[in-house]
Parts: sequence; C-alpha cells; structure tokens
Amino acid sequence: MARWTEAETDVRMGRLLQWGVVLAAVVMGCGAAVFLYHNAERVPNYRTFRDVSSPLHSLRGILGEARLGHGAGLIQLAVLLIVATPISRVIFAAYAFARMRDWLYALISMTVLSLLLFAIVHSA
Amino acid sequence: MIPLLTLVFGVDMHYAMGASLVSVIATSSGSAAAYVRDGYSNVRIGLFLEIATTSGALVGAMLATRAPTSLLATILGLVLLYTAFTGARKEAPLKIEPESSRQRGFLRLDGNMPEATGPAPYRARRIPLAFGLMGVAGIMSGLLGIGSGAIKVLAMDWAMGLPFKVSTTTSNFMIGVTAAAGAGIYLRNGYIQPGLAMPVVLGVLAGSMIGAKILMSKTSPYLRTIFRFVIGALGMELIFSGLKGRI
Repeated sequence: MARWTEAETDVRMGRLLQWGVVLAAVVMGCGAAVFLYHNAERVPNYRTFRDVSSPLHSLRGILGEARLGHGAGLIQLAVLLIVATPISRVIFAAYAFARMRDWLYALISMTVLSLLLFAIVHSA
Repeated sequence: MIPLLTLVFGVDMHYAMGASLVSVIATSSGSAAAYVRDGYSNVRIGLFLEIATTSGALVGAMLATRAPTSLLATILGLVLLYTAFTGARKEAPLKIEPESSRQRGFLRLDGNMPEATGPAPYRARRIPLAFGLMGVAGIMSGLLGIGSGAIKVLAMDWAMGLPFKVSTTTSNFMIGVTAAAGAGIYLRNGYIQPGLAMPVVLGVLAGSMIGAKILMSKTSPYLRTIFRFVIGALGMELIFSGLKGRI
C-alpha cells in the first residue's frame, strides 16, 4: 500500500466534500420540486416556534419519509447528507493519517469523530 | 443570515438558527475543495483545534435549547458587532520565526506557506490560548447556529500567529465540522424546518458558486466597508430587539 503525501490527501479530501455537497444539492432540488408541487398554495408560518414532535426530527423518520418520496423527507435527507460531509471528512482524515503512519493525528481525528458521534447518539 | 430571516422576514429565531447552521456546513464543505487546492489550509492544526470547537458546539447547542430567544438574539448582536469591528483589520505581515522553531514540538502545529519566493515556514504559538478561544467559538456556533469564523480567525491569526491565508482557509475548513456537532441536537428539537431550510440552503449554494467566480480575484474595499456597516447595524438592531424582548 503506497503512502499518500499530505498534499495528495488534502486534494482527495476536498473532492470528497465537494461531491457530498453536489449530491446533497441534487437531493435537495428533487425534494424542493415535490415539496413545492404539493404546498404551492399554502403560506407557511415560521413566525412562532412550535415544539411538536415530527418524524422529520429523527434519522429513522427522515429515511422513512424520503423513501416514500415525500418532499419534506427528501429535503431533510439532503440536510443529513450536508451534515454527513464534514463527518466523512473526519473519518477520511483518521484513515489518511493512519496510512501516513501518523498515529498521533489518527488519534486526534478519532477523538473529534467520537465527539461528533456522541452528538448524534445523544440527540437521537 | 439569521438577522435577515428574523428581522426582515419575521421568522422565529429557532428556525432561523436551524436553517443557518445547515447552510454554514454546506458553504464550508462546498468551498473546501477550492481552498484545499491552494495548499494554504493546515489539516493538522484544524483537526487538533476541532477537539475544542466540537466540544464547545455540543455544550452550546444544549444551552440553546434552554436559553430564551431574547438572550440568544442579544448575544448574536454582540457577535455581529464584533465581526463588523474586526473586519477592519488588514492582513498582518508574516511574523518573524521564534528561535525555538528548530524543534517542532509534540503536536507539530507548523507548516509551509506556498509563496512566490518559495515555501515560507510558520509555526503556531500560544496553543492553549488558541485552544480556549476555539472552545468559545464552538459554544457560539452551537448556541446561535453560526460558523463563528471571526472568532476562529482571531484564535489562529492573533493567538497562534499563523499567516492570514492559513488561518482564514483553515477556519473555513473547521466551520463545517464544528457546525455538524450541533446539527443533531438542532434536528432533534425541530429547529430545522424543511420548508425554510430548502430555499435558504439552495440559495446559499447557488450564491457561493456565483460569488466564488465573481469575487475570486479581489473584493473591493468600498464594498467591504458597506458590508461592515450593514453587519454592525444589524447587530445593534438585534441587541435592542433582544433587550426589549421583541424577539
């Protein structure tokens, strides 16, 4: 297994993030089309915050809604993809540092990753 | 963005924070490729400091679910005023290398700046101070749904003494990871509304693509001054609205 240089790693990482965002934008566009088609006449009210439970507030709920092709579900799926891009960057960094035999920074990457995962688990 | 949504469109602060947080991540990831290619951003420094920012963002997001919106609006106003104030600073000249630059230190928080005259070495100073400031930046990010890039640049530029281009590009890189830490808590609490997040995120992505093409070479100082005044005015408005309890 050839070792990557730091510059190569950086370029790969940047490309990964860009594709994540492009994918999210496509999903968001599809969701927007479906959402607007069904909600064209309704004027949304975002003036007051309503603390209601919704399937769109959890990972499993969003995946279920998106699979049914609901506009709001697809939009939230795109949101999840956007959130996933920086997380995948940290995973990639851990992997890349391990490949470069830089164990200290592999460990630092894993620490950041575990904080991010804790945030997800804690909120779920 | 949050002042635009809350003050102009009358959107509730929570929804505005949710939409803002997602768009912050999208811009950070979307522009990362371009920044990385320049070779200015320092992944090691970024990752190390992300320990502080993600911890801070977790704490901030948990606090945000408990704090009253008027308090959040006031704090956001203060952050905006700070941003408007620091926007006036110019690119600092490269600092002279400290004598101890021979030894890299345990964390190896150093790098080379690609310059026309060849690679210019730099090395981070006052690491604990920068780490603490990054914790504050993280708390602000989680508390308000912002990227808090200005505080991040302060930590790297002023505290660590990194070259300006390194600190701005590395901070852009870090913003996404920091914001991602708060996103789960925001989602769970219903801050991220699809009907609002969709136009905001699509708009921000389109804007950043067009903007990157137009403003790639240089930003006019005149435009920047106007922008600073607008940010400052919005900050004042937020503070007053927050103190009066109108938000």
